[in-house]
Amino acid sequence: MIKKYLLLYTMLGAVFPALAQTGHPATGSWSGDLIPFTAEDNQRIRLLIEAWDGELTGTINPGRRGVEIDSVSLEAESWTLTIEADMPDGKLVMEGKLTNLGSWTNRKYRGAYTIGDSKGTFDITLN
Amino acid sequence: MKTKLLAILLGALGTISSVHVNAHHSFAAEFDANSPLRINGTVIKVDWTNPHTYIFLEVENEEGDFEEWGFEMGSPNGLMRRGWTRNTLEIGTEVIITGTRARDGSLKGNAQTVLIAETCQRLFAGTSQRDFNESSIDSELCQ
Repeated sequence: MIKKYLLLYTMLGAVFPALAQTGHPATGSWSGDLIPFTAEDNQRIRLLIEAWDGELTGTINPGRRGVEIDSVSLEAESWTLTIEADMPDGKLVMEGKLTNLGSWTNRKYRGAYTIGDSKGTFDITLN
Repeated sequence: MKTKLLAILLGALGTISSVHVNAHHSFAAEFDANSPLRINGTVIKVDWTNPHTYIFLEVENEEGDFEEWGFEMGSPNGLMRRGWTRNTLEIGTEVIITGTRARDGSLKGNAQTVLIAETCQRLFAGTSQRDFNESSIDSELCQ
């Protein structure tokens, strides 16, 4: 009988951690704004980041006008995420930190970007 | 001893299933059938969960600001019976949703149909609105 209880609790113990798995902290659908240093209007940006065999990949503004990301790299000690892509306006480089990693609804990716000759900051939230 | 084991097992199952039960409600409790809604947006998230599937859109409002709208649809099983799969709506798909607004005025609604803008494919969203008639939907919405 003790063996049956042990089996039951082992099974339950396996179920609850499985429910808590959240995957790679950078993956998912993100939305936010590129905020230029000049007085131009903010530019809306969406990111879709996926992980395949530990390698990050993704798309900027997924959909009909989506642009494949050339490289995504995460420096895990500081949670610094760097994204590079060839956009119609020029090469986009975003470097920023992932924060609030424990949240499903308010995870942030904030930092600085350059696109062509334009520079600014960005503020992006996991959807 | 068998009774105790059964009781423990049922208790554990009850704990797990209660997470889903508390998300279920009647249509009229949350949505206003007299407040129709038609909205264009881009899919940013799909939660393929029981008892309802949810689709989230990024929508540009009249002021040029972006809002996140959430729409309740039928259960995953109900949607699959209508031809949906998990990959029917990918992130970034532009859609036009018709449905009804939430009673509390929040950026939520109950979806009746989802029209994919690029292909004009119209999908029924498995609304739980009792008097919804699928044949009443205008088939020219895409034009």
